[in-house]
Amino acid sequence: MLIDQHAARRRWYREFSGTMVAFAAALFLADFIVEANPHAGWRYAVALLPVIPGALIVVATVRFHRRIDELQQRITLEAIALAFAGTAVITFIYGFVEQAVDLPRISWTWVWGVMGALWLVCDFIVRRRRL
Amino acid sequence: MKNTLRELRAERGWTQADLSEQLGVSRQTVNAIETGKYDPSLPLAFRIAALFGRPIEAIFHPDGS
Repeated sequence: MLIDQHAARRRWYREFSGTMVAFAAALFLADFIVEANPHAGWRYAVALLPVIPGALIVVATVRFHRRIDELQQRITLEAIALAFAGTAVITFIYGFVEQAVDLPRISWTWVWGVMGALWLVCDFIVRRRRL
Repeated sequence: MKNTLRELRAERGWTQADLSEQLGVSRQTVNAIETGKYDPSLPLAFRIAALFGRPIEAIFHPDGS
């Protein structure tokens, strides 16, 4: 099936930015409501509100990946594979060193930050090699 | 793998963008194939062959042959 690559990219920007805005809004709203109702039993359900737009980000990403051409798919997958391996190595090393010496304990949510940063770097490297 | 894609495209006076549009791939992908940095999948190679009306082996050649 022939897919217009420019249209695929435009659609991705539109879907990704839309879902990211929804995610940020849900995060802000959930945080605000939970802070205002620290003892309410339903606060756990509200705290999970960002999961919905978060899932939509995943859907948008998968749709984009299926629309791009075979070389772009390969570049993206190689970059993600490298970032995945790099994140595993960095987080494991930090975890072991953290126990051995007195390093600050970092929240696990930073794992995504490390992976995202590595993904950008790896994507740049793979693109230079492949294109 | 070597190929004659650039020559075939030039014969028809197409730009890389023209060819990429007809093949449904990005311009960078056409460039990567032409420069030998990327070997296309069999379905894409068939699409290229069909577009130029030639058999695959007349366009793509294994290295050293």
